[in-house]
Amino acid sequence: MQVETLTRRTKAPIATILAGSQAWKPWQLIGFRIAFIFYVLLIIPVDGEWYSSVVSSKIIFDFFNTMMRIGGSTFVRINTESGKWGIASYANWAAVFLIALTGAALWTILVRKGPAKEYTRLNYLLCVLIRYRIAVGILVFGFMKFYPVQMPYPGLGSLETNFGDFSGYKLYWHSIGLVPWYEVFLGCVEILAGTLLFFRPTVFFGAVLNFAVLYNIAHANHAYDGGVHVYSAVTVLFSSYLIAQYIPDLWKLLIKEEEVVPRRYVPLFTQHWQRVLKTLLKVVTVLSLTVWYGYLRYELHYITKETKAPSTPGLAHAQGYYHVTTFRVNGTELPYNPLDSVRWQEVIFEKYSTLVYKVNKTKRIPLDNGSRQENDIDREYELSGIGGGRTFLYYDADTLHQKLSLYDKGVLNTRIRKDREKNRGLDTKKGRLPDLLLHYERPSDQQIILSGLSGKDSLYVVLDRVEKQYPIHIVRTNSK
Amino acid sequence: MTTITQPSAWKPAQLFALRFAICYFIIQAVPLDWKFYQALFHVRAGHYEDWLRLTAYYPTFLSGSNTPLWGIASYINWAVAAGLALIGAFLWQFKVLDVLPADRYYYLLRVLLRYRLAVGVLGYGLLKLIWVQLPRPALSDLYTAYGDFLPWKVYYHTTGVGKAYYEQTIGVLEIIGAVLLLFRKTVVFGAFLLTLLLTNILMANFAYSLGHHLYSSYLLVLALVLLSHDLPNIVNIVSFNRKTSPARSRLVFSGNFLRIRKGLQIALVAFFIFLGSLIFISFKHSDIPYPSTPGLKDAYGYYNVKSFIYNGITLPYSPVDSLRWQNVVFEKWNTLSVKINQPVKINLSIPALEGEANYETLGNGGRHYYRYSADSVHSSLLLRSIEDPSCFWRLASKRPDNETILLFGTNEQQDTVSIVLERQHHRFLLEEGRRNIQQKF
Repeated sequence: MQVETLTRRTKAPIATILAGSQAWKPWQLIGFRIAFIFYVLLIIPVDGEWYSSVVSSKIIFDFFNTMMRIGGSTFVRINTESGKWGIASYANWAAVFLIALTGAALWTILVRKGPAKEYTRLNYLLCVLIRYRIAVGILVFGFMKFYPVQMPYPGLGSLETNFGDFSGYKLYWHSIGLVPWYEVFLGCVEILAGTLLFFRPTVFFGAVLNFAVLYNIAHANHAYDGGVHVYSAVTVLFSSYLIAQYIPDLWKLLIKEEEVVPRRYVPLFTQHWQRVLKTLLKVVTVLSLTVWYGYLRYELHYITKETKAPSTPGLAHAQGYYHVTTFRVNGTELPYNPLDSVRWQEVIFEKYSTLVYKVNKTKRIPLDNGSRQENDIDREYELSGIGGGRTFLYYDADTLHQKLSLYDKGVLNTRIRKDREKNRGLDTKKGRLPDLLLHYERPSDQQIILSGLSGKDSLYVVLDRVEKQYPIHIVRTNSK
Repeated sequence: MTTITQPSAWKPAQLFALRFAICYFIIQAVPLDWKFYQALFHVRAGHYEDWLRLTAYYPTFLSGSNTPLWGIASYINWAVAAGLALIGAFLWQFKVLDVLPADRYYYLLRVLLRYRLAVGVLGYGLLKLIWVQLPRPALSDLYTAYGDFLPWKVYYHTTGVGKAYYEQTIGVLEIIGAVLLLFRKTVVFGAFLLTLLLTNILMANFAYSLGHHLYSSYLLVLALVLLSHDLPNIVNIVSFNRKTSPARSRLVFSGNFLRIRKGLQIALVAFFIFLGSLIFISFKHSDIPYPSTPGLKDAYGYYNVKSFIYNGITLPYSPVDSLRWQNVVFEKWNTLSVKINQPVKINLSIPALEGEANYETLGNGGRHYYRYSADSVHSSLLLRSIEDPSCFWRLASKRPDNETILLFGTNEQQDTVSIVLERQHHRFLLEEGRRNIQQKF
């Protein structure tokens, strides 16, 4: 492999300077050694977990997804509030930096006899590593927004929840999920930002775009306790290194207003087979990470329908918001009372198979982000981070016998959650009795009568649909 | 005098484009509209919003109910400006006006764009920095269902509840971008930063119908035109590794021009220091954009309507009754909001810089708002509906204990009412957050 400056595309004849021929200053050499170890450790994991999950991927999508979520090992984790949400969550960076300092010191001592004059080639490789690391990471999230499944559209249960009963992260996610085309636009920006990094002429712009987008995401994660601030912020660190490569030239041109002869440098392959191999590898890699991965995401979300929001259709023509006109428990009628902790105040049938009821009682609610799951019953996104005394139930409808078997989605215990993470496809309904077993009647389009058992109590509930136009759906047009 | 360091050759098409751009941006950026001067002469010195409105000058030739507000047709005023600019550029060819070399015009055009953009962004940057533009939601908003807001209000509230100085940081970035525009060498960095910010602001304007898409796309165009000056050189370096010479020419000021320039710069900086202080003082001494009149003493809170007697008839709890009040919020200021099963005539107007106007009621379709004043003569509260100012309640209040408020009196139609309010204590998930997962909500 021979190295020379890129002179092929230049119009004006410029002095051909071998980029690598200039010796670096001592601080540049030491600085590079630190940066090299630092960034490599932030990208390449040194423990076995990632490697074993790559190897154990069962389907091609899992393989892609694990590969694209490559990230350095965690050396330090501080188990405090700040360690999860605040400044102390960046402790691992400090640890990696200390390792890099130590490593660079050892490196400097080891090579003191015949010190390298420059690391141009190694720096190029580091930049390639960083470029691909940013690109794969941002493409994962770009496609999630592109489809758009990262922030699902808020369900009726959310539209009926008071603003103060949401956790901050839920409000932020809903605000984006609310405008699907905006989410798609953000996805396109991220896909573009990732793709630009595959090609040398566009690396600078890709790096700037990644820096801007990921800075915003990291800060928003702090603002709303989104929980992925470190993962987002590390991309800002990566992008900074790429941008830094261009700063001397841009500074010279724009601030010092001097003529610039760029001496950026690319590996030049002399052999024909080398060039063919390189082009082939590049084409296959780039197409796999964009087109193929994009298709796999499509397949996952639209064909196997694995999403955060439930996808099983709900009871036909039942979607809507209902007042609870009559509520009897064990034969005793409870009148409507907003302070009652037993009587249902309102009921929502989502368009998917979820029923939501509200009582005046707080309960422990899931507060995590709610991830994509195989089965509807495990899809917690619709209820996580939503307070206000609402119970979200998944139901199986037996339309022949007009029966609903309802399962409270909020009571998945820790064991099931753990199993679910380890064992995809686990049927979390198995061995679990429905929390409510209700018979339904539909005297009219606007009314549903539910009767049956909630635990040991017998319930009789008359629901009357309320036709509602939500202001949040008002699209401003000239007629308004 | 002004001199150009390195004159350059202009092709006829470039000259025409330059003349067009100068005419176009003079129309859009120089306050030629008499309404600007009307606003200028009616500025109330202590009201930041009056000053701020001056920085947001944006000419409209066509306005009124027939002018499209949304979509591509809403850009009709740009087409008018472009039409006029085309005529201007055409007339300019007849040499009469062509007194200066093109380079000098080009430089002056950039100066105009730089200062116009900086002025436009600085005011809003200060508003965000001081947390006034997108304020924290009021208590009534926390008791309003998510679906009952217009999209723009959801966006405002969501941004307003962000912690970690999120909104303030956006404000700081806008201010940095604007300040970078004031120095010739850093214009490109300012334009770059503002292009990123304004693109996001513009998209958010479309996504949530924030109502300022025309103004934000106008500012974005200014940023893009400024950026286009250096972009070819930057691309030459970072994409093509070509030998690149710095931008062609610049204007060197001397004598009186230098003094005028210095004076203008100082005036600009002084104006924004003044404006920033004014916003800060308003923020410190009141609840802007919420009203500043204090509410009923110790009444702040959310109340269940325990009993509601209307013309002598007790109305029981009901989610469907269109007369009965369901719950009531007393704000810290003189606003009271009520939940009733009655459609709200939602105020569709877009958020504007109106200081203490009805920000809290705009875009809220879930609650009925009243502004009240204490009537010391009748020792009562006069509640005036914000939706329909002809509707009011004249209510006496009693406080048997700290948690209960009794209200009784009549409305404009002499209906009598007697209400028992009982304060509820509610822990908001929004305020307590997700960090402590042991709690119930």
